[in-house]
Amino acid sequence: MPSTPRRTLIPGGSSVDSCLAALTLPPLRGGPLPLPQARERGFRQPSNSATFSIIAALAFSVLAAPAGAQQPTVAVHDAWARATAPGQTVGAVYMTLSTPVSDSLIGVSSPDAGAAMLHRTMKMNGMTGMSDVDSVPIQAGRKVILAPNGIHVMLMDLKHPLMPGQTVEVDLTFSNSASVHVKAPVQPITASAPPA
Amino acid sequence: MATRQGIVALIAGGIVLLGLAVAATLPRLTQASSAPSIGGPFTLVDGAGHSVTDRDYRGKWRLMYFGYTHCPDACPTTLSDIGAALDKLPAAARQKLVVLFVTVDPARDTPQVIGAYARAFGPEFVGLTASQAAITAVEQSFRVYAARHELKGGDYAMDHSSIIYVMDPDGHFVTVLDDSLKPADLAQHLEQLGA
Repeated sequence: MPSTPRRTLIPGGSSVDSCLAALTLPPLRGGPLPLPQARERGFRQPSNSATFSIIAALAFSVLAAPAGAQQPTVAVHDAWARATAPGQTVGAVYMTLSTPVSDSLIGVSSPDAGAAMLHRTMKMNGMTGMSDVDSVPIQAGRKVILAPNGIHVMLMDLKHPLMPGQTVEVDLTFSNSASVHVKAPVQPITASAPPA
Repeated sequence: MATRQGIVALIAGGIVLLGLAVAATLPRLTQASSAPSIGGPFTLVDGAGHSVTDRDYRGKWRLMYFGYTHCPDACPTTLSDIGAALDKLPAAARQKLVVLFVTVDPARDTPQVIGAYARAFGPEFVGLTASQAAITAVEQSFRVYAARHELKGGDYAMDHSSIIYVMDPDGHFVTVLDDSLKPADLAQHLEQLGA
């Protein structure tokens, strides 16, 4: 999702900016803008820094927290999982994450697997290895792509084989955003990219 | 006295001959030691539980990749890339080629598991396993690195070499290919090799 920031950053006020960025999220997603007056007043009439701070603080305390808790700010696109071979008990899910407010993916779970974890495949000097990933930072306005040979959601102890045409369900937990429920279509085992 | 001179001459001649033989062999020895010897005879077990050796694949180009089925990301990506590369080869070339997927995790990869897994990538794919001792021997002859490391939650992953070995129809090592190559590039390399 091309979610370019709409305004310039406020020097030294990144948390305020994050807060205001959160307020701009609903229109990006097609919903109504909550209290546009607050945002406009904050930017158009900053008569002095004190007024601005008060408005920003109010906006943060009153609006950002409930908005963040109720609806996710992180958007998930192009989710897919690779089909498993007969007898294979592990799988991988890939996706693209974007957010207008910097956040971190800190947890994954799936009803289709006994356990789900964030892993990173690393390749170097003709070697490959897989390591645990505690969190995946997602910078505001930038895409984070979970793709083959990189970060992926590893599904372990799959409860059923992953067959093309099915969907795998994954719940994503973030530092700030509400959690996101993802339905990832299963692609053939030979696939290396999401469905077109 | 004559006998003694004869013996001396014989020894001297022997030394000269030996020297010549060493001189003749030396370039080959140094050549052999500078070029890595990769691959060699092996006896492993296929998906049907049958014992197979390297000789069973004589007459075919052999691509070999070492991995394991509990690898959800790197291994299927490489195997599907190889499959996509084979799709780009002429049918005749494809028939002269076999892809051996050898496990580095024989504890979990039984013949049935590795066999079915490899076959899912195409008819040319053969999954092979064996006892840990036999797998270690193959890893050593191909200079494959494989090491277990623990993951959270009691599971484990294998770090392993991720290169594709190319062996010619006589069973000789030809080259290695980077498994990060795109299928089109992989296919081009295989065509250039005459595979």
